[in-house]
Amino acid sequence: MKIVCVCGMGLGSSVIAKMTIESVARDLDLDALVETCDVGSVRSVPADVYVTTRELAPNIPSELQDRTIVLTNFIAKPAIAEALEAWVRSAGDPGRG
Amino acid sequence: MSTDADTVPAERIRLGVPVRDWRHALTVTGDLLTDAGLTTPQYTAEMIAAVEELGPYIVIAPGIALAHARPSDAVLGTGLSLITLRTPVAFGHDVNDPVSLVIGLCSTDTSSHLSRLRRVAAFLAEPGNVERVLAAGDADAVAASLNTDDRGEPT
Repeated sequence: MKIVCVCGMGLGSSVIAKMTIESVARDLDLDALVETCDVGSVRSVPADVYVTTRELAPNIPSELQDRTIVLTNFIAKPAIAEALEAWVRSAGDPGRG
Repeated sequence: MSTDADTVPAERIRLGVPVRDWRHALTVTGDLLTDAGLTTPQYTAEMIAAVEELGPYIVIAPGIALAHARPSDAVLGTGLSLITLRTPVAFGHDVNDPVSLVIGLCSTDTSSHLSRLRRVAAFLAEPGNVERVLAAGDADAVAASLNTDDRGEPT
């Protein structure tokens, strides 16, 4: 599965999100490719799921809202693992290997 | 003595800083980068403008803000700064306020800061580390723990 972390600038909070999510995906044994982009580029970066902050979530295009996870803590692995697992369960993800 | 490989050298760490508000917190954080020759004062203005424009998305975890702006002419080098606040201040984040720890980040491109940022993220994620930094009174000790947190685990 492809996960894209969306941030305001593409080099700060999205990078922290990417690092934490990659670590979580390894722990959960998810086959995930994690990338980052800034909020202006979202439409040009296809993904299975987008991860972003509450401030930026309204800027995610409406057609992508149902595959957007909103996080408030980008450092704590347990909260991110829970959100990711919940999404995978509801999406019936084919990426679990 | 710090090297370029240090995550955050002691001279870019200030502990227990009294600040008036979030803009002041970002100014102190940005000044550490400017004083180190990594940015111009314009970068600090850009970090503040980013929050004014996009909201407090830089408050990436309870009590922790990651101040930064895009690579630009205001960035002269890549590096981090870190401050802890004597009294926490609100950044306007409805879940993660108030903020007690601000990390400043500048990068000349979208990748040269990554290994340092990785170490900071791993350090902050480790239970107890944030509390230890907030209680610390010695910048050298904080720098040392940030620079030696690699445990050989893939990050």
